[in-house]
Amino acid sequence: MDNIVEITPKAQEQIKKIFETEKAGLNQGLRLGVIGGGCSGLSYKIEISDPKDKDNVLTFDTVKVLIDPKSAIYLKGIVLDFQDGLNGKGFVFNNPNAKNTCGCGESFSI
Amino acid sequence: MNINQVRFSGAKMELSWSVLEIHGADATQFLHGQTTINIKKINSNEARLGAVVSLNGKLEGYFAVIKRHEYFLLVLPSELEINVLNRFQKYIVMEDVEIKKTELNPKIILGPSSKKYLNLQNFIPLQIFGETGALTFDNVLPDLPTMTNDILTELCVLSGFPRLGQEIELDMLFSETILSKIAYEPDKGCFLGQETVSKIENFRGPAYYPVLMIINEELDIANPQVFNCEQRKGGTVRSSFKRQGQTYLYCYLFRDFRIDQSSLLIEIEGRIISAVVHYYPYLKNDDLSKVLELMSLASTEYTQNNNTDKAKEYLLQAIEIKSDHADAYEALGVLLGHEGNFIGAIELMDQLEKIDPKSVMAHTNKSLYLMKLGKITEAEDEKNKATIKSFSYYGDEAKTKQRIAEEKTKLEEENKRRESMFQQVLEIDAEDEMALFGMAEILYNREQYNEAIEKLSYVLKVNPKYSVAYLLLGKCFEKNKNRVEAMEIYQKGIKIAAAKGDMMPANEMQSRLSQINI
Repeated sequence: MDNIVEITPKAQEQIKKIFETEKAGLNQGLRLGVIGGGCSGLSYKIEISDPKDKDNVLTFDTVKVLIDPKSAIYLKGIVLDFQDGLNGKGFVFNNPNAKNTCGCGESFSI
Repeated sequence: MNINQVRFSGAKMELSWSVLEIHGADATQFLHGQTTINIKKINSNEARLGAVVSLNGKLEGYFAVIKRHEYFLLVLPSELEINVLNRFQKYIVMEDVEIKKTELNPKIILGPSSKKYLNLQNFIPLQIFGETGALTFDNVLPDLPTMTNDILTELCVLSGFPRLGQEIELDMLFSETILSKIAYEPDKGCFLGQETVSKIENFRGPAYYPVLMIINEELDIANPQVFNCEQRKGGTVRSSFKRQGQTYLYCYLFRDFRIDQSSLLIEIEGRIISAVVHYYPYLKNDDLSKVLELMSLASTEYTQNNNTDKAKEYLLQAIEIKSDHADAYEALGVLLGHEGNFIGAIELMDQLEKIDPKSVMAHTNKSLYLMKLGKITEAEDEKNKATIKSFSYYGDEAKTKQRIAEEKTKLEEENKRRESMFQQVLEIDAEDEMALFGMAEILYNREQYNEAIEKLSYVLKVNPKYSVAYLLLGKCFEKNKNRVEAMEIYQKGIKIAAAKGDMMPANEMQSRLSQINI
């Protein structure tokens, strides 16, 4: 089964660190979603969450990613990366479907 | 035809069932005293499933009871007609009750299509074969696909609804059949056999009870078939079907093994096979559950199979079933947008806004599509509306957070009150398991997991069969990220709880075990 989204090794490491510091439960995962607003229209949402019925559950090493069916339609094909360092933006979503992305990299249109 | 066609659209079926007519001044009272349901609460032209049982609690018949203005109709499997007639005749003494056979031929429309006919006089709503349905005695049925026996088997095995001679037989203990759930109203008062039914319910529950078991390979299993589990009789397979690499079994499973979502090794037809247990109903037939299934199917078709057309088909079916499901409109609009059908996508966002006036995405998506069409001013306008609505959304979120904080404060006040009470009990009896458990719960609520573990370990030393203590202990281990310890304690606790008949903690432990056992 192809993954709906991809998560780079660097992003996976960062997520594991966040799960430790946020004391996420053993059954919790990283929920990816889309919300309205932002300079280009749609924005990505990341949060630690319990699994819900009908979630797509993707496993990357020990990292569990949760995407509800509706959000999967928006997020198909995105790559979640992490850019650290002085000029790093933190979590960055690379969306091959996005026609426009604003300078901050957080907001996109399709 | 496949099962999804019935569940998400509809099918028609001629029931090979008979119809009895019961009338007389005492008909209501008589039926109320004889059957397992509250006859007095059935409205005119309403149907409900009911049953009759013997003094020993054994099944003597089941049927759909329909109330007409002046009389009742009983729609039942033809093989039960004589049985039920004789049973009722035996108990008519001085009552003004007359029962006669009719020549009526019942037919049914199953699935969401049935709703279109319920406004018509000759159709009566009825839940049957695990589906919503419309029952009629008319000769002419709508132009719908006809249900096949194979699909009916799938529906019954997946929903738990029993067919006479297949999933259910006469003389079975009523409490051991699914009718004790779907054709029984415990608060209806006395009926023949009620004492036995109540005794079984209040003691440890039935020894055997229907569950669905799923095996990850396709097998031909002769039905009925007894199987073993842990070197003792595990239960009986009554019916089955196979599909897409799996076999689905309608089984009567022994109490000790009856944990939802647990894996069992069963010995059947000389083989040891792994099966997963699921409580009924496995398939949910309410509109919202079906719509959520269709959303999930649509998402899979689009993201996994790149089949946009199939995805759209599923979403349109979802909207047909539940015309106010906002997510279906949103998802369908997004798919149209991906295809470049911006006008169609905008129409869907307009409909989304009507259904969910608070929807931010309706305006955000509409803004994007208007932009694509070159309508910049209108696009900016929609974007502004999205921004304003998102403030309202964040305002609601802030209120929710405040409410959660207030609830936390109330919980701590309650914890303090209970703590004082438990401490007083423990001063009298330091080994009082309820007080110890209560203290452990308070410590868990305060996130003092190590202290809670200490208390719970002591509770289990005092009483190794205290089922809920295993559950709470497992939760503490989970909070401490001790996966292995959590799994071990759940596995131990499930066996103990199941043997005691404490199914709620048993099922919750199984659910948590499944979630953390990756």
